[in-house]
Amino acid sequence: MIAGRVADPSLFLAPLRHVHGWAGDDWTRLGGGTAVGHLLECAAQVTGGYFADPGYKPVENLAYVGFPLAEVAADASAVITKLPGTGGCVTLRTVKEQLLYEIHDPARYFTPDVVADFSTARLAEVGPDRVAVSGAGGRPRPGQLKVTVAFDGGALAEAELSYAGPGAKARARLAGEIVAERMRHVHGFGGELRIDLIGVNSLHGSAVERPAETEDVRVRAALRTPDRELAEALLWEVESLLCCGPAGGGGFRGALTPSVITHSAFLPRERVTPRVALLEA
Amino acid sequence: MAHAPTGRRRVPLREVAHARAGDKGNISSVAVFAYEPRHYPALKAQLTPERLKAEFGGVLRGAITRYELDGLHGLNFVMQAGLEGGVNSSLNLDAHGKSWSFLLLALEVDVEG
Repeated sequence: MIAGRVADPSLFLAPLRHVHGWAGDDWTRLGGGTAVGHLLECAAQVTGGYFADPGYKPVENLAYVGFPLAEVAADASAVITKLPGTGGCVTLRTVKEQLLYEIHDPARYFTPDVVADFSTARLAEVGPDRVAVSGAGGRPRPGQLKVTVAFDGGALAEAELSYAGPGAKARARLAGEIVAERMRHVHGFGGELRIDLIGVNSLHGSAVERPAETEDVRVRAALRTPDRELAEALLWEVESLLCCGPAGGGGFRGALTPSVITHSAFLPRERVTPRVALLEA
Repeated sequence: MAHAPTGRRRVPLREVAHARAGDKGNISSVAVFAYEPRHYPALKAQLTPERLKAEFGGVLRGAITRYELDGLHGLNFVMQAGLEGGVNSSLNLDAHGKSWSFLLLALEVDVEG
């Protein structure tokens, strides 16, 4: 496969077209092949990766999870499986979860090759670590291609410090308040500043109040800015908590990461001409 | 005193369903599947876009659309402006919202049996 930035399932659809001789407007089979490609494109996500939940969804030998393979028939129906002796599993549950992964309307999954319809897909366990997929369909491909436009987003500044033992949560909260106060009023930062208490409520912090009782809390401060001095100031402020902040803070880490911001746009497909040049040395 | 119907119980969604989260730009999608087909109608009745918006409006800031996959006993929630800006601009450690599946799985639902 030689390609630039293409839709992930296209990487699987191309060899299927080549082997089975599917026409470029055989929308039903292209839709079926796209379903197969979609199931394979995230590798172990269909064989037990991004899935295990001890006590609820056990997965054996995940440390040696097997990558998936598909046995694809000429009518685009397929069996998803993996090599014997590898870890992980292929079950109705792993395949269902991956079939809808990053899908919006399952009846209209837009790719450059076909508008695939996964809503009619049927799944069946046909053996250990073997799940049959059939019934996906498709309609004519879109007239437009998706364009991703990237902009320089400045720097993402992130800095962390931990508190442990009695009162850790209160000391961590105070540390966060100090950083926020100083970034606003000493450094004049007016943008969005995020303070997380990792161990209390971080990933879901802006969605729910579900604070945990814990004695091991990591304060994380993050902001994004085109101003390098401000980005560096955040790192200095969090590191300064070691000497100037609440008692017992340790384990400072800070990093600046270049940030790229993207926007999506659309382009009529006839405006794009794929071109491949083979250079020989 | 009112009695709940026999065998009806309130459980965290995680007891009766599994879920996976995905992202496209600033749009989050979470697919929820009933472990047992018999629990699917209860999920369909109770896991509405309105409920998600009411519970998690702080982070699910845009319109929420639900697609029903009766054959797979699954509900696919597509949440516009659901990722605090998305992978390129969110300041959340989990900028992809990979953990949003467990945000939903912590909701409580009433199921029979």
